[in-house]
Amino acid sequence: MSKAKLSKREHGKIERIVDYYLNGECQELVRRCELQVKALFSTSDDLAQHLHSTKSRIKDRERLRDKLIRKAIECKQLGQQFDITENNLFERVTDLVGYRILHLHTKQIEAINRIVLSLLQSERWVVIEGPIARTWDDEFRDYFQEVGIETRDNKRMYTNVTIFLKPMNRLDVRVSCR
Amino acid sequence: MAGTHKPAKRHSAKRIVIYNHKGGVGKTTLTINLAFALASIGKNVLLVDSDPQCNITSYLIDDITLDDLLDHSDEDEGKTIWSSIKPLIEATGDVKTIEPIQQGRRLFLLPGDIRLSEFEADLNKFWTECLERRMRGFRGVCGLSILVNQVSEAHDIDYVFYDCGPNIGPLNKVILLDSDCFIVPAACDLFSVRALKTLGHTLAGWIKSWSTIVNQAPDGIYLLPGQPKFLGYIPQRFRVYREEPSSTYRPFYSKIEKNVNSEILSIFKKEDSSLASRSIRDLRIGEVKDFGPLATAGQSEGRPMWEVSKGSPDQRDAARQSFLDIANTIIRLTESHMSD
Repeated sequence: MSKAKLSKREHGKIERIVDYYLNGECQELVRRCELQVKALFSTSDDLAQHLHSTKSRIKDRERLRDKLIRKAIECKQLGQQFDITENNLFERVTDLVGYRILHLHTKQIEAINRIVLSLLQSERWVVIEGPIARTWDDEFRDYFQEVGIETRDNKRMYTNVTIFLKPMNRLDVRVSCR
Repeated sequence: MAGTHKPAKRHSAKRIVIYNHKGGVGKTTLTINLAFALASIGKNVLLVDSDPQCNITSYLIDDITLDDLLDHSDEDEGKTIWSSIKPLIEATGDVKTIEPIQQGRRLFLLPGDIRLSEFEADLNKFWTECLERRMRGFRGVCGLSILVNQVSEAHDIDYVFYDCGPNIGPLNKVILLDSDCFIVPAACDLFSVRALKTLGHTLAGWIKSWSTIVNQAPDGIYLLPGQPKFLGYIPQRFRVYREEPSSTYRPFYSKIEKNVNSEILSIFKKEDSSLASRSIRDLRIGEVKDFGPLATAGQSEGRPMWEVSKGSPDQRDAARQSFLDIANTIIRLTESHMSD
């Protein structure tokens, strides 16, 4: 399938969404959410002993624009309406805030998963999706299923476990363990 | 994962705070006498002594009993507000239910404690944790409210009065945010009139800041309502000449009205008109003149001003009428106004 191009009007629509995302109120919301997710995972000494490092990020202007363009092109190729707007940005783009947990040994995921799920429960975060392990390796796939983590194929040469969270009504967060 | 915990439902008792961050305006005297007045007309009233100075507790109970309460409040069987919220501070559990002290048929007291100043220090930390969306923060900030809820439920309370210290500290912030409405007492003196200037902005700031937290709070948990309505103000402690405030006090009387209008009412109207829906003319919900020896006699005898052994029968009758009038106004306003 040849790569569809977006019209000026479609680019204009994406720019308006990006501008909206960059306004003070939205930025305060995502910054606060980043702070909350960091606070959530820093409360557990149990978790800390399994981690190599953690990193959080807020999606920046370029990455959001690229993502919206990519999604708009996908829609065009499939003959669908690109329906992300300022009003549903926070529901439709689920990784405006991201938190990454890096651990060194695959088998640490069992304890990490248990502690993370327990933290999420006690702090009342809603899991929208996951945990899902994306992996290319058959042995890993069997292992994740053994410890109760759903798996999906991943063509990339790394494995991660992702959880989508909803801390509040308006914003979703992606937590990824690699 | 959400919804595994059922939050307590807020009891229907109307929670009122008589608040002014200026000291010496007669908050405690007004609070206690209004509580007595409401109880005398058939309402069940809970007084919450949330001032670490424990003035209202020492008003109502004798020194020996008070010393005993304070000496043992840190123990498992403690009976003050501190005994109840201590598990939150020590992170050992939730609010512990305590029995209020009953005074007569319809008046109940949750005794204060000097150690509430420790809770005050922790409240800043709890507030920050709320901003971080941590459950510990919400439990801490809402702890006193949950205790009041439990006691209101158990004793079928109609009106709750918080008594608070003269400051803009974190304890008063959570009390204001838990109250359904607030009344501003203002003494007729220069400092009281000036103090009104900062009150409206402070309260509006608290409401706004809490609403940010509420917007990001987990669904379905117990939260402070954060919408205290401005019920009115009460000029106090003025001398009377021919049934009108005397010439010394009259200028303060009009300055109070002017400042209440410009520094509280207009600020609240601007922020959220539903919190200040009445006009300045209707906001003077009563007045308490200087009843001379009755106030101090009330304190030492632990009684309403109109039942003390000092003063003349006329003075006592006038005091009773003043507080009954305000009590009836409060009933009228809270029964209509609160459902706006």
